[in-house]
Amino acid sequence: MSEAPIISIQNLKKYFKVYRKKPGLLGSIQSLWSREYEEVKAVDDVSFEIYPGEIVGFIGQNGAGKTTTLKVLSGLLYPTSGEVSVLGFNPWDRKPDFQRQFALVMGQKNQLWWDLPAMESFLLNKAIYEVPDAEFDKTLDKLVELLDVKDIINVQVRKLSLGQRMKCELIAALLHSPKVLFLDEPTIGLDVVMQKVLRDFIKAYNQEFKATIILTSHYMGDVKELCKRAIVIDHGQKIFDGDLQDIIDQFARNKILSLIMNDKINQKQLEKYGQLKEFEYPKATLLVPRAKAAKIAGQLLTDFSVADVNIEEPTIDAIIRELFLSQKKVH
Amino acid sequence: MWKSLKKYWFIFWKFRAIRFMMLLEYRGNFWFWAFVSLMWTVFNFFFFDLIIGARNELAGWNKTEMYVLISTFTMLDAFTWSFFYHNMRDYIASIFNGQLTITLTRPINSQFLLSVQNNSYTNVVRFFVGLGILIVTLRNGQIPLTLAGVIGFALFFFISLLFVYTLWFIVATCSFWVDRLDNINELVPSTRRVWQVPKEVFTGFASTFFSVLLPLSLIASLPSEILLGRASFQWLAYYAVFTAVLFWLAHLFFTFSIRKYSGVAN
Repeated sequence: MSEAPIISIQNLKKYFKVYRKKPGLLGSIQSLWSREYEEVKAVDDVSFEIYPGEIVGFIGQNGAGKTTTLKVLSGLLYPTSGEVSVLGFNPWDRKPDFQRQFALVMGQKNQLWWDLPAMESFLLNKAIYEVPDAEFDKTLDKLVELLDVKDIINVQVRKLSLGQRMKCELIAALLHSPKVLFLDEPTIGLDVVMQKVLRDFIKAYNQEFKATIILTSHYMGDVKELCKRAIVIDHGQKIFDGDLQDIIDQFARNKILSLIMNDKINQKQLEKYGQLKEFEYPKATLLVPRAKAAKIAGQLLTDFSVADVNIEEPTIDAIIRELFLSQKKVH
Repeated sequence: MWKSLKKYWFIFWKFRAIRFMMLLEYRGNFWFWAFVSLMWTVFNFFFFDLIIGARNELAGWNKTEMYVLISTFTMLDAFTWSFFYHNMRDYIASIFNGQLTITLTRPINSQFLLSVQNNSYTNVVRFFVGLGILIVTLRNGQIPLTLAGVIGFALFFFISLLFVYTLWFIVATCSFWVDRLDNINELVPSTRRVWQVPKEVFTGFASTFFSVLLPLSLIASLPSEILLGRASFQWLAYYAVFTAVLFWLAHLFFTFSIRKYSGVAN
């Protein structure tokens, strides 16, 4: 890319000291005057660059270091070492000029006033972020339209559903039109319909406002639908950075062969072609090596009377699961 | 600079409006707490009336002067409960529950935001009761009021509020350095007994401690002394400088302490 990166992280390390309690009552009593601490490497030597307008999926298991990285990028945490630049600023200088240009949305934290309509929180943010009246009205109208929340922004937040609240949280976070958006589990706890609505919104927001977005999510559907590029982090270390499709190419060892048989056959007859995942006549599902998938499908068509055959990639969830399992063996 | 001040002024009052709107949502709660707070004031005056009635003076302060002191304390205390208690409680809670994350990412002075986000209106009645008793006492006691005296009183009333706020903020900021402190917010209000008596009550080391090292006994005494025309310039200057330095140290301590913030894992 010829453009300069909007986010740059070089050899970022963030270590925490964590107290390990000895088990039982005696351990609790001992902890009153003597405690053992252990160093936890939340982020360990991570480097990457993100360019303007990108939506990057930040994938990792619980405790992998995703949120810690986002917190460092937001200026909330001071790194143990390494260099970080976001929009040309050192995030932990926490300069207002920097803070006016980004937003951090955490699915498990809220900024809306619980007992008041969301509109009151929007107006407060307008004052804090110094958004001019005309710009505020224009952005609010746009966001309200994109998220279809015209009827609820004047209803007390405590009376809204989780999905409606999340929509309003997003509006509150985006009213100042941030150039960089950190989304930490924005769809957590939402039903599939609302997840889809938010994904569509994030995509539309990225296109409309040319915002750079880092997204962490446990729902691979979010990442698959929104992100071309993914960064996979495990035990604080980056294990993959590239096109999401490359994860499939690199880590998916098998393809899924789905068959619908015409004649009744024995389960054992199919097992010699690959790993049989499901068998319930007339349907059968086989996992076969990627490179041999077409050849095996051909063989099956020759050897049996097959009504239909389908070759599919495994789901991205399954691939990522496999990736993490292989890393676990390394650790 | 002017634009920035205007923004902070506007946000300060925006929070007051938000809190007032929330109050109107739960008006039963407001009336109950207003009643409780009024009862505190009545009992406080009743208690001191009993003591002064028996001895007719306390550490060289006669009944009228004591009423000026207790009225001043009542107003300061009403302000303390209205503002500092709620904000510092929320500040401490936000460190432990990770809600501070939202405050720290906003383009505004975090200390300001943490200090003004909340307030209660239940002590407003108490403030005006204190003010009313002060005015009546000054009139009945035929204490001459000068413009300089009133301005001096207002100035040192503000300095006392700043001192209490600063002390409370430093104590609350200690929360960054421990895993959990349930009752740290009760530490400063637990010293209120020291504020509401004349500084002359304390002798020996207690006097040095509460007037010089940690001048809690000056909080209500000095503004009252200004109204009564018995304030000493040295004490006023010392208290003002002490408060200014403490305020500066509180800010440094806060800036240093937020490096310890880890924000609670998701």
